[in-house]
Amino acid sequence: MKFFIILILPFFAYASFFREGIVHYKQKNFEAALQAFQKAASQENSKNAYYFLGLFYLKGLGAQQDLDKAEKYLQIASSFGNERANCLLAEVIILKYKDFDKAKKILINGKKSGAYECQQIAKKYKIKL
Amino acid sequence: MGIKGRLRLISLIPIILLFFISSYLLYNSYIVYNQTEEIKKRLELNTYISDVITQVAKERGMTSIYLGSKGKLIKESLQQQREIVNKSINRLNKYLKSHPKFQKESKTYISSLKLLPEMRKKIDSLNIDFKKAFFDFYTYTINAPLINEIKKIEYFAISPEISSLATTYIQFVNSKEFSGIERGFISYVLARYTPMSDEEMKIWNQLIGKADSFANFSLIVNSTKEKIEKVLKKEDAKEILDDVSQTRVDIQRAVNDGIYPVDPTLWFNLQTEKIDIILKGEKILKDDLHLNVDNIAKTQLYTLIVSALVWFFSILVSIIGFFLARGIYKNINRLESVLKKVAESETIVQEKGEIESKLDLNTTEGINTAYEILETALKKAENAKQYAEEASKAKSMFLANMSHEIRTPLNGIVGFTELLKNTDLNEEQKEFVNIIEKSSENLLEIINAILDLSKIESNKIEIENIVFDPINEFENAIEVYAPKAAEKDINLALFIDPNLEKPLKGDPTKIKEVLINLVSNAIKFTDVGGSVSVEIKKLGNIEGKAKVYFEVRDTGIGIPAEKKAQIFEAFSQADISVTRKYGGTGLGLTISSEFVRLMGGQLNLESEVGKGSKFFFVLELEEIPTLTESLKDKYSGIKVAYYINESEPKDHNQYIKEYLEFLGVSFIPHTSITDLIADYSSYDFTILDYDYIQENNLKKFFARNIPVSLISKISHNKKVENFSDSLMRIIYEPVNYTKTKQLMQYYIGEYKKQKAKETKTLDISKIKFNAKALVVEDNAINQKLIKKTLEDFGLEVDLANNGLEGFEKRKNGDYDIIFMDIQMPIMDGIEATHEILDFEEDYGQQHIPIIALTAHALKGDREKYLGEGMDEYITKPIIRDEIAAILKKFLSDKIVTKEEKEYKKKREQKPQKETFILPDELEVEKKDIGVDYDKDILIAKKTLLESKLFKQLTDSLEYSSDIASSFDDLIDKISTKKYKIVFIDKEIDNYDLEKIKELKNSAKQETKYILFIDPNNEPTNEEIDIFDEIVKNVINKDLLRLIIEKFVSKGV
Repeated sequence: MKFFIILILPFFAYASFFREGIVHYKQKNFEAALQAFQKAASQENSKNAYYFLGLFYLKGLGAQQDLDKAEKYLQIASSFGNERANCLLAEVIILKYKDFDKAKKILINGKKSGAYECQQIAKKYKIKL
Repeated sequence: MGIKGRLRLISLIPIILLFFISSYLLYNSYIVYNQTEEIKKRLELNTYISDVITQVAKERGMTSIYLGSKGKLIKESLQQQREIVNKSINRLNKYLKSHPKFQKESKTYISSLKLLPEMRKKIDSLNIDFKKAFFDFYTYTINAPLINEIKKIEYFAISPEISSLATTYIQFVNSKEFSGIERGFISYVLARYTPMSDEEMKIWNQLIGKADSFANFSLIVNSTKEKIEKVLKKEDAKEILDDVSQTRVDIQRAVNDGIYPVDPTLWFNLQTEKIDIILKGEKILKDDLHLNVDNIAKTQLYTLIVSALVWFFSILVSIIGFFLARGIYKNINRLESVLKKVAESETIVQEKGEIESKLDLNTTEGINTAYEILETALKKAENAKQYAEEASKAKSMFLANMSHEIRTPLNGIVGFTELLKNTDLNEEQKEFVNIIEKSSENLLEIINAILDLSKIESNKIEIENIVFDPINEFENAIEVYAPKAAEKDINLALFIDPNLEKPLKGDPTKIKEVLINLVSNAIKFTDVGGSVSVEIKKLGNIEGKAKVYFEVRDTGIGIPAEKKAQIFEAFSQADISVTRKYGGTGLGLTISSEFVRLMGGQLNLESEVGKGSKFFFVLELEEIPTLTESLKDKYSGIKVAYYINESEPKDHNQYIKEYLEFLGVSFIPHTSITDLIADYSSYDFTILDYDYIQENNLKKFFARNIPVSLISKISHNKKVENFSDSLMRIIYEPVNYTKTKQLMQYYIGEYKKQKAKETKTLDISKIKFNAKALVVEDNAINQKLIKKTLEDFGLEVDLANNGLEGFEKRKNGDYDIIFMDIQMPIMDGIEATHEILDFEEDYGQQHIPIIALTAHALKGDREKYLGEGMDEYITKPIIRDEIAAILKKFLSDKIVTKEEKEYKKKREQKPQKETFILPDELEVEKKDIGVDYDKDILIAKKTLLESKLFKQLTDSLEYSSDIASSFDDLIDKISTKKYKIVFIDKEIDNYDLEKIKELKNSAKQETKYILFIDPNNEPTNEEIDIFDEIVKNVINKDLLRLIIEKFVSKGV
């Protein structure tokens, strides 16, 4: 599978690490994805890559759960307008800081922007939006 | 509609058409041109607006990133872009300021643009919803009005190409805008990284369609189409467009889960590149649109100029046409009015009635009427002309024919009045008869003048061509007026060129008539004490003809310039007062000028009022070589003194000088009497003028025995004759050449009694020829005449009665010369000549000279007869001179010397009492000098009637005569008066030969006695002795003339 993907990869116009990461992510090759996203973030200046990094470090995909890294990465992504990252950031805040109010605020904004993760997380942590 | 109307229409319609077409074209091209100008301006505006749109779109896009990243990203770039946008807006504003028209329309979008700063603030504070900022503000509020403004270019559909280009241009602008929107919108979504809602999907789909609409453009302008396609089909462009499609697909796949594999920045940049491509296309379209518009503008400008010119031209032409038409109509109207006048004239009205009203040059019927009128007028005019010509011709013919009818009774009146005068009348009767005579002479003169004129008009005048002696003829003519001139104390001077010694051929009668007319006028119109001078000069020779100049000038009243032209017209005198004061019919000059004209000259006039007049003309007359030698320098060696009073110059002073110098005489003028008397030894005699010198001074000359010849006017003759014994000679004015000649002759002959240097010349009259002549003539009288004349020259003469006889005689006879009449029965002279010439040729006979005798003496005759083979020609009546010349020419070898010859006829020569030292048979015999004859001829015929008839004859020959009513009267008259010739009829009662003999012997003077005898009788020997000539009693004018000429010269 890896081999197959590497073959296919060059056919993508803007064959980028970010894409690569997304492909790996879709195929649940989280480690490969993580690597790709890291490259994307550093070399390609891809802001959305930080979302995935945050996601991975939050969920412990492809790496050990690391709430600090997750927080760091998700904040970067969020500052660049990634709404999803906001929702995940809310969860991080809950998990790391247990600050439900802040989290609530974030989740409300996130819901507005259409990120359903915020609803999921709200549901998960039984927060009313 | 009349003709005028139709003409107007025809001429105006094309002009009007031209005018309207050009007006339309002018208007149209103007409008379109203006439109092109507007389009160009709009394109310019669009450039600015388009730039604003592009920058605003960029700002919008960046704002979306900015907002999406919650103010974290591209803050600085946004600020920069905002500046760029501001600058672009400023440029737009600047342009609008200089284009007020656009400024008015810009109110909407400019006011929107003014909201930018506020919105930007809101954006900066992140206090605004993305959609609100992105769509509501930037897209709808700002860019949409701007795009609408750009779209206005579509309204200028001035050509399909322009429309197509404009539409495509707008298409591209729209695509650009919507690509921009897509760019910003999806960037935002990609940054948000959440799935798209259905609404958002819908929006995007709409955006995609509009953003890509540029790819399907339809453009009819192929050149532009190709350019755009080239841009779009370029490698990198294609790549970019493909990338965009592919990226879209990628994003679309992830719309549900929001896991977009595309980086927003990447997307933004990609879309920006696509927009750049669209921009390129937009520029191409804008440029080509500009080009097209320019082309159309150029074309429209040309059309505008041309149509403007045509427009002006059509106006100009219509103005010119208007004036031309007006001119033509004026002329037509004038023609119409002239024709109307003609139509109103009596002649037309008579013929055609009131046709004038139908005359109208505007209609066809009217023009036909005009033709009718003209035709009628012409016809009438022709008829009138014909009628007038016929009338004139009839009148002339009548007058010409009546000439004879009128003159005959008048001649009767004149003739018998004169006869009456010569009868015994008492004083009262004499007075009455004189008055009758004068009146009838006047009447005759007038009628002659009128008839002459009518003869001239009906071309019945013939110019004669006979030989005459100019000096003699003209001197005689002028001499007639000596008394009249002397009466008014007018100095009459005559200069005839002595070089005109040789005879001339022409019409002396007419020339004399002209001279007489001119001299008579001159004397008439010159006051007392004036002068009249006649000059006749030989100017030179041309081809055997002498050019003779005639001039009559006076110091009279003159003719004013205005009247000069009229003066030659019949019946005109300078003015009516002239007729009153001076009399005359006014016909003289007309006739004179006509005569001169017929003779080949032209009567000219120079005149000054108060100073005098000069009439002159030049004639070319044939010169006849003569046998008489010239008298030039004949009297060289003689000196003559002449007194000239310088205070009273006279013309004849110069003339006398020329006469004397021609004769070789030394002319010595003196201006002082005392000097003249003192110089007496230096000259032979002197000529004095009685006008200049008084008797006491004359006596001084007589005292010193200086020979004096005195010039005097004839009015002083009584006075002058008182001392005629002391004078050498008296000469009466006018002093002419002949008188001068005679003076010299007299001096040499009588006075000097010495032989001057002279040469003996042949005496023609005494020359004889020993030859035989043949005279061919049908008229018996003429036969006798010619025979007599020839026999006088010593020839033996044979006669023939017609050409045939003449020819026969010539064949058989042996003649030296033939005289051939032309008009003869049986065979005429010309035919006979031909026969003789043929005979001479055929038989090798020696040619006998043939001389033509003809009664007519017209020009061209000589050439004609010579052409027929004759050797010479002479005219009847024959002149001895001419015969002599011809005999000398052809019979020079037959001349016999001056010896008396016995003739078998009854004639015998009288012993010559005088010696002829000086030849010239027209001269008066020497012995006659100083002797006065009472009359030329004394006539004593048997009956008074015969005598009278005879006298008529002699009168017509211009000899003065008396009639002896009986033999006793004859004796009486001979005793008391002096005659040159006495004609005695043997049959007269009491005829006594002895008494005649007595008379003759006792008489001192030379009188010739001529006896007339019955043709059947013969004279006695004694009679032959006594009488100078015996003539058969045949009354023939020519014979008579010959006889008289033989013994007498014409009266001086």
